[in-house]
Amino acid sequence: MTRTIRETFAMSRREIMNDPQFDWARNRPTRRWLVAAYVALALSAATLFGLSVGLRNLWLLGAFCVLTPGFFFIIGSINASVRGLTEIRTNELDEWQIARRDAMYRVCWWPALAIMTAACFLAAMTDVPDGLKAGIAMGAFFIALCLPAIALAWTLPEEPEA
Amino acid sequence: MTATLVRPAPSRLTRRTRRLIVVGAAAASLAALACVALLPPGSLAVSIAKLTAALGSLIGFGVVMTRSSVWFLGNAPDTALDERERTIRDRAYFKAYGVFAGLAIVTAFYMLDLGPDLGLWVPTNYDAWWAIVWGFVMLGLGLPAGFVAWDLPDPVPDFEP
Repeated sequence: MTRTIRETFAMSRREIMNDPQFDWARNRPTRRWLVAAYVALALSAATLFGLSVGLRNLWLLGAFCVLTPGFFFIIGSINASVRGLTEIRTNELDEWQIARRDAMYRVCWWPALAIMTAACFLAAMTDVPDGLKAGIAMGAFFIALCLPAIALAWTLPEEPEA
Repeated sequence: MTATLVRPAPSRLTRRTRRLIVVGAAAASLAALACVALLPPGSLAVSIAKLTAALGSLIGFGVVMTRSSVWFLGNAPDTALDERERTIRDRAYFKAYGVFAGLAIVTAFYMLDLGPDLGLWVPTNYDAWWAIVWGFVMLGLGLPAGFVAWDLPDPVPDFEP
């Protein structure tokens, strides 16, 4: 079943995230490949950003911008693969989904805080080169921001057969 | 850390009082950070402000971490809590994550783009950066327990025959 973009935007987030068109992303191996792709993309983007700052090279900054659509695709696919657990409103999720989501945010809180604190200390308090600071801060930001979603995608069990 | 501590007695504070304390603590922290970041470095005033902020943070966290049932609820291991308490705690972390991530994005956008473009204040010296980084660390330590304090319902009054 195909939809126009207009029809897709008319759907609620819950409908989009539970749409059968994303069934390809919902098995565990695919979810884990998406997580690996996200981490690789985040590290690549952070490296390009750091190099562009360190070398003052606009081409590298352009390459960083070229990667941006990849983020939209992979983050969207990861969200759809977990049926939008991290972005649908609480009152649109069932009890099991809410419990899994909240528990994962708690599990991810301290690792994310440690990653961000280390990156901020490095960026604000040390004399390492600006490019390295920028790259590490950007990488930490990408990882910490999406940590609950990628952790859910990695750990959720296989959905039961319909 | 909380696994080795004795569970404090349940809080007798009403929700309204707890919320006032959370708002007061946040306002005091912001005021201390503003003093450290904005006062001229090296002055007596900034030294006193730094010392007060550091002592206030240490004593405040020391008291809260050892005596507060709200802190215990926010940081205790699963085995020390019942299902209702785990639900409240996990929801507090969900909210805290959203607030913290939102603040980080807004702060980064302000410091990298908006502040310099509009000629607004941005951190330039070591003291200002120190204040901001420590502000986020303190926020990270206290925010989940703050949301637990905010969300917990009023205590059930004692039964009087």
